[in-house]
Amino acid sequence: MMRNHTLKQWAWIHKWSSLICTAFMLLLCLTGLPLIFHHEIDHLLGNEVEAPDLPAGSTDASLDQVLANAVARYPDYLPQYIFREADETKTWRVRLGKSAQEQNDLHYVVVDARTAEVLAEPKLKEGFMYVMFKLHVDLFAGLPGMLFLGLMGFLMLVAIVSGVVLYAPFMRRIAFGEIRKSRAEKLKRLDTHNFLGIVTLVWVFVVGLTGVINAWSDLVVKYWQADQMASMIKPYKDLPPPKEFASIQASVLAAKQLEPEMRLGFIAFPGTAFTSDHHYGIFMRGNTPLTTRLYKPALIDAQTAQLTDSRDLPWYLMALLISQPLHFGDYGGMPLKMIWATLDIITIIVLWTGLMLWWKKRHQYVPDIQTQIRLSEAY
Amino acid sequence: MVTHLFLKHRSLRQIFKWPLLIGLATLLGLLIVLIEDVGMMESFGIVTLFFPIMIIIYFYFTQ
Repeated sequence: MMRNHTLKQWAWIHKWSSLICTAFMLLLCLTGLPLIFHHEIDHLLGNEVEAPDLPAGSTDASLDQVLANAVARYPDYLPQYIFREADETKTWRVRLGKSAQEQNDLHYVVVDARTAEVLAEPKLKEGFMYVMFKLHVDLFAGLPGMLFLGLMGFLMLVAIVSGVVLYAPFMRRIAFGEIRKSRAEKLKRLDTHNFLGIVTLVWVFVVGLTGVINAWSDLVVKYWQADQMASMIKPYKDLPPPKEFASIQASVLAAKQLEPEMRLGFIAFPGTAFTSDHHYGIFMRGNTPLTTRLYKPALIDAQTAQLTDSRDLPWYLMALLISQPLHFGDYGGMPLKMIWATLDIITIIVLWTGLMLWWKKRHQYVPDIQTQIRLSEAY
Repeated sequence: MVTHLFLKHRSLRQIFKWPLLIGLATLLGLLIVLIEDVGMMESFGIVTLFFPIMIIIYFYFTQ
């Protein structure tokens, strides 16, 4: 049996860690719900770009042509990245910026991967889903917003752990799953909070923990740049930036020769965050739900299309990349999305009942924790 | 109405038996679906992840 003093301390931790983060957790759960179905919602809103069906056996166009057609739309802009989602095969997205490091003045051009025809130029920084995304990721406040939400996520993890500690004394005379529906409203609320909280515990903990890890993603990538990337590009450090650029297609082929079992994930152009001024960063990915998230970077000399270096990702970047599907729930098709959405709604109920438990008794005399437990057992 | 006061204390093992089982099923499901792309194992992973939801439906709506 836990000592009264220890129990009081855990109750204090649970109360305050929950109270501080609950409003933000409710916001994250509510904004996360549409994000689970972002493909479907984009499709409904007509924002999803779909490539036409072509006869079977159609081959992909040269990436040089894909790039040329995208750049032709904005000749004054520089290509920053060519990318696509893991399950996409028919299109490429080309991101163009006023400079290689530009983050705001950007254009996205969707190009058919088979014909190299420009299909659309979606406005990714407007609309309902963009607002949901920004509220979920950084509250429109950039890195400070991300880190703040990461801190709130950490408090939620503290609330979960302290909740588990408090679960035992509250459940010592109540059977698992018992909701005292016919008793006082506050007991029904308490039982609902405890029951839903303990059943969804592991899922909420995993999604919360991976969310906290994701909140550090910008800093983790910056550390990787200073750590591994810096040593990979060291031989090129004092050289002037190249004026002539080699073929992208040839550069991708050089990376494919190194990793024939992998496929192209994305290309970072010289000067962007994922490569140097002298290299194309060719990021290869695997083919299973797990390995498709784990990129293997190959640095290709942007003047000669020759491979200069390639290293496996360090553990901290692997941890970040593995944490992403576990947070998004986008790795098991529609059934997994439905499970994610249901558990998300249940989490909202846990947060709401917790908040209500506090709200209803905030002006009441609150007895010590042992008496609270006995009272909850008595009625 | 005093009811539960007369019941015997449950041990920690009794209290956490079901939560532990559900937690392990959830963890197993999350990892299986992450590793397995197609086939029986992926379906098994999805079913294990559905386990907590089934438990909630059963206890909340049938009791």
